[in-house]
Amino acid sequence: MIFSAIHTIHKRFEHWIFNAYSTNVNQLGLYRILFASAIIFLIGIPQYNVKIAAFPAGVFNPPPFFSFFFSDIPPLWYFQWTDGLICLGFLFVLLGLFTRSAGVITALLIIINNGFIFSTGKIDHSFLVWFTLFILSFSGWGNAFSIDSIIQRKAHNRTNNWIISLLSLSIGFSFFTAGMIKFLSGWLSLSDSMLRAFYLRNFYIQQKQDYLAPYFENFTFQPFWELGDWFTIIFEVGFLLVVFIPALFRFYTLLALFFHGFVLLMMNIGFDTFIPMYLLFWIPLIDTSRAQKTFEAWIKNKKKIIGIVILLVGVYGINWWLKDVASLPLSDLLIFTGLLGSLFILFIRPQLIFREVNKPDEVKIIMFDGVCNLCNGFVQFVIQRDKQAIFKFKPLQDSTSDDTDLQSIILVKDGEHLNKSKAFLEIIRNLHGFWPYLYLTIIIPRPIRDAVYIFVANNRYKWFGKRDTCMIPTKELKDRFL
Amino acid sequence: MAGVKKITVFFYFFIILLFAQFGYGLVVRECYPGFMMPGFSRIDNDGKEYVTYDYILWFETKQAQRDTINLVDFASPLSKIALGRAIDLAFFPTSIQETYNGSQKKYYSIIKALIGEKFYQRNIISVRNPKMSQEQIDEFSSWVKARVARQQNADVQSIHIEKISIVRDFVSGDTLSTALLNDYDF
Repeated sequence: MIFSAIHTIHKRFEHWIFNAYSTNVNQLGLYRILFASAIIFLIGIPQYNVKIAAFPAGVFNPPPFFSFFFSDIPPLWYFQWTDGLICLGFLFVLLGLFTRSAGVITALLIIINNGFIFSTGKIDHSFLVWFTLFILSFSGWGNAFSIDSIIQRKAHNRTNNWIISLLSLSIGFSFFTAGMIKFLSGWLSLSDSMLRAFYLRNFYIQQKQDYLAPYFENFTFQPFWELGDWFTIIFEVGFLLVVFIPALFRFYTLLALFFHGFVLLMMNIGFDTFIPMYLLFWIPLIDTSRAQKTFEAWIKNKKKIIGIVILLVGVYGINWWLKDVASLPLSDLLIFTGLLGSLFILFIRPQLIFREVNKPDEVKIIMFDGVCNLCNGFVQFVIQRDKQAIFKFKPLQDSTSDDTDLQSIILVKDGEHLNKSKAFLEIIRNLHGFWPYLYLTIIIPRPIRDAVYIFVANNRYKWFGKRDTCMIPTKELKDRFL
Repeated sequence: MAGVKKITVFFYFFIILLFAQFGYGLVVRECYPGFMMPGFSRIDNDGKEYVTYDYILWFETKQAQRDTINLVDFASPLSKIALGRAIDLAFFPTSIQETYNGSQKKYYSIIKALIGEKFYQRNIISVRNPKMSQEQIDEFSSWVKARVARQQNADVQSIHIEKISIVRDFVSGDTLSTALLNDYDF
């Protein structure tokens, strides 16, 4: 019994590792360009020689693990050289030239150099982003829209989707640690607000007083701050729970964008580097077929492709020069764009969050109890909100099988028959409007969800009535019924 | 298939590693590279008053002029928090002991009993509360003095650093009281 349960969990875990976050080679290629562009043009490539020149002499208190490998800060020339290599590395990642090596070397140099910067004992949270660069170098993101793919002249369509699962786990766990520490140190106490205390410390001691920070100084409405404490912990701890449900993880990346935007406005703390990282989980929703066709047309013309490479290198150079002459808050702009984007999707296009990736237009069949008023009402409800007409309908009474269970709606997709709450939620996630938010209840264990479903199903005739014959679809809807 | 198994095993090890480094971070100190985001934990706060800590850096020129310096500007391009850690490490090492991960203190006696005093001192306390050698402190002091001199364009004779605690009104943010915790001259 126990071994069987462990085996089931193991199989589900294995399935999650390899299938949960599925992307294709073109989507990863596109993501590589977006990731590198965001770092190069908006956030800024990490440069250490200026920081290290201003670094307190004599201080070498790096965190454990890093201190096992290094015993002092290297000389300035080391940082000047590695800064050059890091710049070159990002250009190579953008162009997709020696993509894997460039990504790995660049990420390692940044991770190591950051370790020296953390030698005062203060660590920032950017490691996850450079870890993203490191592990995605092994994902196959250089196999599309890249110079590598032109040089190799053969199709490499294999992607290592498990790397995205690994990244989601790392992100979820990192946020979980942040939330757990707050939880353990009493953030949820109702007598005071830690968010308020944090804000005040930041405002007065760290002198972070830009954007909306001054407006919060005298904003003493206690429930607001208390709500902030609770939201912070539920958001951070919950990140680990949603790792195993990709649609919910996507929802959480939106919450993260909202959270980072708000933190920047209120406390002037910028988590800009995290934004391109979250984008990875939205990439599977993008149809890259047009981009692929355009790229294929380009590579047939060598002059064109050389021109594009020269143009990109030129833009990269101009960007470098511009950074020296104009100090634009582009990284803050990126966070605000993320904030607005998250609000747009959360309140105007929520169906984007829960949509199934890479097969959004696949036809699915809903089998329902044709004489039940509740089920017929549900079918009408679905038809009105299924704008892409991805669902077709079939009364269960038309089924040829003798042992058809009328007690549950059945969703047929990918050759699989889903029933009860699972079928209901899989239908609801594909609808328009705010209804897809009901999919959040997938986090509730299935036996509980199914118990509620069965309770309603058992009482459906009593509560909503029953008709004598199955519904007959109108002329307009006839082709939606099988 | 063998690849699938290897990757699955790797995931199991990775999860163990995640929890191990988190546990180590809670008990000893946050590792780097690591998957831990400690953020901001509790400071003493009863909803009416709260305590924060700050530093005041006084400098005196050879012309006997005395003034303070803004530590945010002084630390740039590093952060004031990073500079504060360096100041604590060099001049006020007991501050680190008092403030770092204070909420976990209750578990230390249990850990000490489990792993023994010697191991506890060597692998937990000395990692949590690192100390700088006198040579390093002198080097850091010279660096502070030289940086003040360069930023203020003055001949700096001496530096006086104070670590203070500030009690503020939780609602208005007004300072209720300030106390000198420690100071250091060089």
